[in-house]
Amino acid sequence: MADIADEQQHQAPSIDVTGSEAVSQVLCDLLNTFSGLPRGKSVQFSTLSAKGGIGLFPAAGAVIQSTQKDITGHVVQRCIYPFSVIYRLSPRTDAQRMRAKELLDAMGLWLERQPVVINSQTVQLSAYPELYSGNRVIDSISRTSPAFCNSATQDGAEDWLIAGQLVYVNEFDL
Amino acid sequence: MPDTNTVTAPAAKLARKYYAHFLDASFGGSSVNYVRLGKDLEEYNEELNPEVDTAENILGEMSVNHKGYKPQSEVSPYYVYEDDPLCEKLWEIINERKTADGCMTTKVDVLLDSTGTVEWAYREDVLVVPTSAGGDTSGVQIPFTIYSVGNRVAGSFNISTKTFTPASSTSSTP
Repeated sequence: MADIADEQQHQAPSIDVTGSEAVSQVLCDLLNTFSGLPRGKSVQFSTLSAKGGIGLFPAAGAVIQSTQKDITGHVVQRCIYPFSVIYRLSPRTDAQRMRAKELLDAMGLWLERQPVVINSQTVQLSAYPELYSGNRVIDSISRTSPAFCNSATQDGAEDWLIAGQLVYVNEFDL
Repeated sequence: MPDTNTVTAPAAKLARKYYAHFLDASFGGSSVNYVRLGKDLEEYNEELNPEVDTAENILGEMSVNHKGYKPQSEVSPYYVYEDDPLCEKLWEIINERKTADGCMTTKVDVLLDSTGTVEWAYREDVLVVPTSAGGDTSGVQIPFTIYSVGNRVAGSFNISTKTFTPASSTSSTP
């Protein structure tokens, strides 16, 4: 009995591949609507140039956290899509570092649909975008870390990172 | 000699979705409106509550007196959805504190085979009594109990039109 319990505990998590693809595109598009982005900069998907930029990096695809099936055969899956947003820059002053951190923290607040002040204006994400993939609906986006300096190179480039997770629900009938 | 290499596939369990339960949301209204129970319900049982008395005489003989059943079932959780006719009736019962005939309706239990064909259907008079209203942050809930009153009749059930036709329903002109 203990062997079966151990096996269940160590089973590889299931991945919602179709959901992962849909979320990657939608989340990247959503981030590019954030009014706090520096002028001329856009969020790229899973890429950063050596000199600088902002990139969205998914961690592992959308993991199916739970599956509930009711007596009519209707299935509700709760899926988690962990991701990071990395802001690469070559700051010369602490003020520039602070601005990078504040930008990412503000982005995280905005993704959580909290009000955030950008250029003296309060902005708030009114609703999450549709996923256009089956019956998948975004439930929440939340930060799992504050913004921090993840790495620094000898030539002065620094990667500031904020981690988050997007939770969505997928429903279908068996 | 029997063929020892023949392997017979074991019989498959019938999926829970093939035993369906419907409540008439009109509660005795002019137009019967059967709605299926089961959304958000991972488990639903009709507890038969059999009444059985056993006695042993001085000769060591057992006698069993089976008087009948007192069936009832719990529907919990039951989440409120917009435009759900059953929810509208439950709100009416709760808000007007209805009792007795105000809570009477009919329930149809249907067994289908794995092809979706109705094998049998029974309709019974029931009393629907909400047990609470409110719930946690997952959504507004009105769990209720269904008490069987009797008058159980066999018949046929059209899954598409959700229409029950009693088996003894033959036109008889005096």
